[in-house]
Formats: sequence, structure tokens, C-alpha cells
Amino acid sequence: MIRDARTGPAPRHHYLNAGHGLASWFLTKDHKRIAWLYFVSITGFFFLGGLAATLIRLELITPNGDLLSSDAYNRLFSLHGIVMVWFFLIPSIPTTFGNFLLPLMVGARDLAFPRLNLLSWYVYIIGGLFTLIAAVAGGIDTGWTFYTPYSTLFANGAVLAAATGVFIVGFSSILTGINFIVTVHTMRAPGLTWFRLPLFVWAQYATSLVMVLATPVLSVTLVLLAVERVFGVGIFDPSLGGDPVLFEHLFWFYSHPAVYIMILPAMGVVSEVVSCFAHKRIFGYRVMAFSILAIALFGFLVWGHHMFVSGQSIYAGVAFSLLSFLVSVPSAIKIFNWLATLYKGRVRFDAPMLFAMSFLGLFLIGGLTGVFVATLALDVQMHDTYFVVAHFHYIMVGGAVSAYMAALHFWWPKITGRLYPEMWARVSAITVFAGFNLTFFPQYILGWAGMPRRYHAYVEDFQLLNVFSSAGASMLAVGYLLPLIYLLWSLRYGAHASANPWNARGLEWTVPSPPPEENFERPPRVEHEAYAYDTDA
Amino acid sequence: MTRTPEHTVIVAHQFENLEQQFDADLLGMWLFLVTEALLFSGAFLALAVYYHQYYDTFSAAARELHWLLAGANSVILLTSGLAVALAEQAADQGRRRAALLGLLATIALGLVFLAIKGYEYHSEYQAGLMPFLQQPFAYDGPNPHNAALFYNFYFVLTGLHAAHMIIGLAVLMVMAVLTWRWRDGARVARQVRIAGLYWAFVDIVWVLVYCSLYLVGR
Amino acid sequence: MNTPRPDRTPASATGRFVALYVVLLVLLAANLAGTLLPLGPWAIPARLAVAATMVAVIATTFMRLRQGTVLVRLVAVMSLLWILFLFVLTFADFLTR
Repeated sequence: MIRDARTGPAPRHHYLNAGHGLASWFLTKDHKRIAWLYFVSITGFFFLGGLAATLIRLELITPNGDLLSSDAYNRLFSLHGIVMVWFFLIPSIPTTFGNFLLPLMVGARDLAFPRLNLLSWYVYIIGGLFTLIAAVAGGIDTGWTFYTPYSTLFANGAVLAAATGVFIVGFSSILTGINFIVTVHTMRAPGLTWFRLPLFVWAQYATSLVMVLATPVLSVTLVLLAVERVFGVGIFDPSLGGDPVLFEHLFWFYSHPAVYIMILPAMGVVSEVVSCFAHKRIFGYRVMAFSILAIALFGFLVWGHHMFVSGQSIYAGVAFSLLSFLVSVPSAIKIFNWLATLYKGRVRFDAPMLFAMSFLGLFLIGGLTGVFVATLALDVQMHDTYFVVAHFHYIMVGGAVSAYMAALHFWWPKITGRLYPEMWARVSAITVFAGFNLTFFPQYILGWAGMPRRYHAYVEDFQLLNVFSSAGASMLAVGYLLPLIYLLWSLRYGAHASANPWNARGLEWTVPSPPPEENFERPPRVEHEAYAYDTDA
Repeated sequence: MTRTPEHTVIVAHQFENLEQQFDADLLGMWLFLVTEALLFSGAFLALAVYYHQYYDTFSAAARELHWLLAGANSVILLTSGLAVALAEQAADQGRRRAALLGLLATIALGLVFLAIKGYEYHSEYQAGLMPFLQQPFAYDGPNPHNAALFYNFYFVLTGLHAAHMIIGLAVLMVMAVLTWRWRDGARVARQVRIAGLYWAFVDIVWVLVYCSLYLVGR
Repeated sequence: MNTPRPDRTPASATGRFVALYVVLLVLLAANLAGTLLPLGPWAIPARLAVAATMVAVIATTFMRLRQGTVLVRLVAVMSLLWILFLFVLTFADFLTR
């Protein structure tokens, strides 16, 4: 493509200059501005969680626990988990790109409930404040899973504040989920039938279903935890005959599907990016849409695979193991279809595509090792080792965060009206990919060799691989800090983007960059399917 | 914007017409109720698991509850469900006074329910059946430890339901004010309808709470 | 409103509401009376079945599920399905220990 097609004159009126001053941001009902509120807040939490990870990796350079006490270490990995799961990964793509793009992609002026959308951001912030209070008040050492009876009867940290933060932020996801589902159902533009929707919309829809169906069970579980801890209302207390494994069932009924809250939106992003940069219609559109729904559904039936060594019945373990294998079928379909989309495409490797390709490789490795740990007998060996840590980081960082970065670069011109510096972005993408593998691949080997997770010290044999891992983490840090710098730079100095700098398809590229406040001058009418890349040039 | 003979109907800017807006509102409320249903089902699941494990102890403990008083409370709550359904209908037909009356009756019945519930809590507190907050546990049946688990569930489930009733009452009070003002009849009717869904859900939860705590053990 | 809504309540609905309210009271009374009968192992299923019937009556009548759109009915069914997942898979553990 010619470089010049990417730049264009800045539109005179757009959502960014539609209002000025703090109130125009903090009281906005515009989904595009609310997306910005989320961008800023989740970026803050991402670097907070990253700071905790940095300290963890620093401690693990040496076998002895010399930098941090075991107690401080426990509090750091708990903070890292809680912040990254609930305050970055779960809200990441839906609340930012979902918020910004969903109305544009369905051809609507806004989400169905704009005020609710703003409320959900405030709820998120209040939940975040509680978590920060918990961190400042000494943190918690239960891990992000809050397992009872330790969390209710013994832990001496700020468990209540942390659990309250997570409880509150759950309502933020619920409200966002309801908003998205209703928007997709009731606000599609004329002619935009279900099978003309971009896969990103399908992914947001499925994610929202998971949010709505899973989060309330976490909420009630945390309520039960809180009344037990605060008022002594024993629910899981073994001295009353309560069953801690029951807590695990309730917790994982939410927390396993939560993994799909993180990865489904990423799959949506990758479908958009791969199709655009291969300049080809996505291969097997309908199968892709159905596999998104299938993953969301199967995701609810497999939670027991987190509990293979918890004392759960062996028969339930077998059933959960078999059901877990089911998830790999639609996931593999998606991988094959993305590859088939690339086949014979005119593939360009701009930064969004580099991030999306990272996703493909890393998600594949994470998914395949997921099959290992879903295998009942093998998991008895792998459970609570670094193998599991490496597995879920390949899915969540290698998968979800890579896709988040792909989305950030792909839609940056649309969101800000500016082009980012392409060369620096490619440097970032390659640094992140290399750094990520250097950080987490050694952890597979460490786990296989038997290094348990959640300890601040380890035997000397494991040091070499741990040093590799920590070195990779520093590369990863550079890779993530770079975009912070050049993206901020581009806000002021980047060239003005044209309406469609990537020559992409989709309604969001038909409006100016940045879009006007009302999105569309008149309601669009959709007459063809998504990804119509074969219709011209 | 759609026009009616009487007045201009205001549609929120993101919608094309009123019908679309009402569809969205209804669907949104139903999805919210789904989340509420799953929230309660987590607590019910825990109760069911323990009922399965400690059936005899739980049944014995359940017999200590005021099942007839709570039965009367069920009648009161079901009646309030009828009252709110009639209020919705009246609002829909533009009968402002009848709608207001229905809402006020619902609120009054809800308050009576909470008062009776409070009396129940008080009498259980006095009988020493509140096994937390360092209270003495005076239960004299078999396996008092496991029985304590039952009473914990009793207080948690009824407490969770009562919390939802208080939210529902607050919503209904707002609805009563809106109905009393009657700025835009069609709009008030839609709002009352959405609020009524929530109240009916609170009704449903009580039917299940009553059956599982008071009746299953008898 | 110039478009008729499918779920708009006709005037005759009052009678149906009151009739089903009476049905609810009868069901409640039946459940209370059931505690006096020696139902043995059928006691719990019987009580739960009566309660479930009451729930169904409230949902279809007071919540107007019967007049609701297909989508809203689907949403209601979906919640039941997911509650079923929660119960069945958790009890798959507790019943086979």
C-alpha cells in the first residue's frame, strides 16, 4: 500500500474536541470517551501489577530468599495476581476496544445504556481503590484465589479490603456485559444481520455472556467468605463441618470461565487483524463464530480441572478432565482458520500483525500445554509447579496481552486520529515476543523438573533457568514501556491518520479518524458480509 | 423521534425509536435478573451440598424455625406480587390513581414482611440460635456444630433476600413518586414495568428460600 | 406510543392475575399441608416440585414471560441451564466421593 494513503487531514469536529475540561471527561456518556477513562486506569493497574512481577523476578534470580522475606513475597504474588486478573486482564479488551468499537461496528450512536456504561467505570475505580487500600494496608498473602479456610480464619492481611475490591469490580464487569449483550441484540444497523457481524463483535458478545453468567457466582462466594471472616458466620469452616472444597467449586465456577473472558476478546481482535493484514476474507466465518460460542459454553463445564488434587472425587476428576479436552476442539478450529486465512494472502507485517502473529504462536503453545495439565494423571505431577505458571502466562500474557497490543496499534489511528511510529512499534513487538519466550519458556522446564510455584527460595539446580527467566522479564519490561513512550509521543507529533489507514473493512473505518461525537452522520445500511476484502484492489 | 397525538415522546439519543428503547430496557433488566439468579444459586448450592451431607442434623435444626409465621410472610409477599402486577397493568392503561395505590400497597406489604422477619430474627437471637458474633449457641438438638452451619445458612440466605427486598422497596418508592408526578404516562408505565420485574424476582427468591429452609426439613 | 406492543396487558388480565394469585396461595397451602403427610423419601422432591411450580407461575404471569419476546424467554431458560450446570457438576463431585 502507498504510505500516503495512511495520512489525511484532521477532521474539524470529533469526539475528542467535542468538550473540554474535567467534567466533559468524568461525566461523559460517550462510549468513546469512557473507553479512554478505562485506557488510562487499566494502564495504571497494568504497570502496578508489572511492578509486583518485577520484584518477584528480582527475588528469584538467586536461590536464597535474600531480597524479600517469604511473607513479603507471598503478598507480592497475591497483589500481582489480583491486579492483573481483575483490574487488567478481565476488563482489558472489552472495556477499552469493546467500548470504543462495539457501537461503531454495529452502526449505532452509542451503547444501549450510556449512563450505565459510565457507572461501570466508577464501580471499577471504587473496586480498584479498595484493592489499593488492601495493598497499602499490608497486602494479603492468600494468593489471588482466596482459598478458605486460610483466607477466612487464619490469614492476617487485609483480606476483607481485597475481597471487597474484587466483589465491587465484579459488578463493573456485569454492567458492561449486560450493556454489550443488549447493544448487540437491539442496536444493529439496518441490514447488519448476525452473520454479517465482525468476529470482534461475536467475541465481545460471547465474552459478555460469560461475564453475566459467571461473575455473580464469584460475588456470592466472596459474600460468604466475608461474612465468615468478619462475623464468624461459618460457611466453609471445617470445625463446623464446612467443606473448603465447596469454596473451590464456587470459586472456579467463575474463575475458569474468567480465563475465557480474557481470551475470547483477544480472539476477536486477532480475527480482525489477521484478515486485514492478509487482505483476505476470514476463512470459515461461520465456524469461527460458532467456535467462539462453543468455547464460551464449554468453558463453564471444566472448572474441576483446577481441583484434581484438592480431594475432589476421582470420578468428578475424570469427567472434568474429559470435558476439558472438549475446549481444545473449537480452539484448534480457530488456529487452523487463522492459518488458512493467511494462506495465499498478501501478508503485510505491520506492528499489529506482528503482535497478532505472536498471539498465534504463543496461544498455540499455551493451549497445547493446557491439554497436558487437563490430563488428570499428568496434572497430579504438574499441579502447583512452574509448568502451570508458564501455561497460563502463555495464554494470558502471550495470548491476551499480545492481542491487546495488536488492538492498540491497529485501532490507534482510529481512536486518536494519529499514526504511531511504525519502526518503534515493530521493535516493541519483537522485543515483547523474544522477552516473553525467554521469561516463560524456562518456567515450563522448571515446572517439569519439579520447581513448585509460590516459593521465594529454591534449590540451586534451578538457578540458571531462573536467571534466564528474570533476564527475559527485563526485556519484557522494555517491550511494554516502549509503547507507553512512543504512543504518548504520537498523540502530539504523529501524522494525522486518514479514515482508513490500513485499507481495512468494517463500519468503524467508514467514519473519520477520530470519529465524530455521534459516530455516524446518518445510520449506516449494511449490504454485504464482514471482511469483504475481495471486493476491490 | 415518534410523535403521538398528545405529546412528543422523548427517546434517548442512542435509540432510533421508543420500541427499540423499551426492548433494550426489558432485555437489560432480564439479564440483570439472570445475574441475581446465579448469585442466589451459589448460596443455594452450598446449602444443598450441606443438606446432602448432614440431612438429619439440618432437618432437626430446621424444625426450630417459625415456619408458620414465615408461611404467613409468604402470603404477604405473594400478595405484594399481585399488587405490583396490578399496578403495572394500571400504569400501562393510564390509570394513575390505581397504579399509585398498587405501588403503595406493595411497599406497605413489603415493610410488613420485613417487620415480621425482624421479629423472627429477634426471637432466634433470644433463643440463642444465632451461632456467630460470639453469641452463645443454645441449640440442644443433635450435633450442635453442624446445626450451627444450618443456622448460618438461615441467616445468610434470609439476610441476602432481605437486602434485596430493601433495594426493591427503594426502587418501588421512586416509582411511587414518579407515578404520583405522572409527567409522561407511557414512560412511567415502562419504568413501573421494569421495576415490577425486580419485585417479582424477589418474590421468587423468597418462595425458594422458604421451601428450602423451612419446609424441606419438616 | 403509536406502535402496539405485543406484551401490553389487556384489561381482562386482572382476572387472570387474581386467579393465578389464588393458585399460588393454594400451592403454598398444599406445601404446608404436605409436611403433615408421611411422604418418606418423596417428601423433599414433592416440596421442591411445588415450590418450582410456584416459581413458574410467578415468572409466567407476574413477570409476563408468557407474553415476552422469544429472546426474553431464551434468557430465562439460559439462566436455568447455567444453574443446572452449577448444580450437576458440583454434585458430580459430592455424590461420588
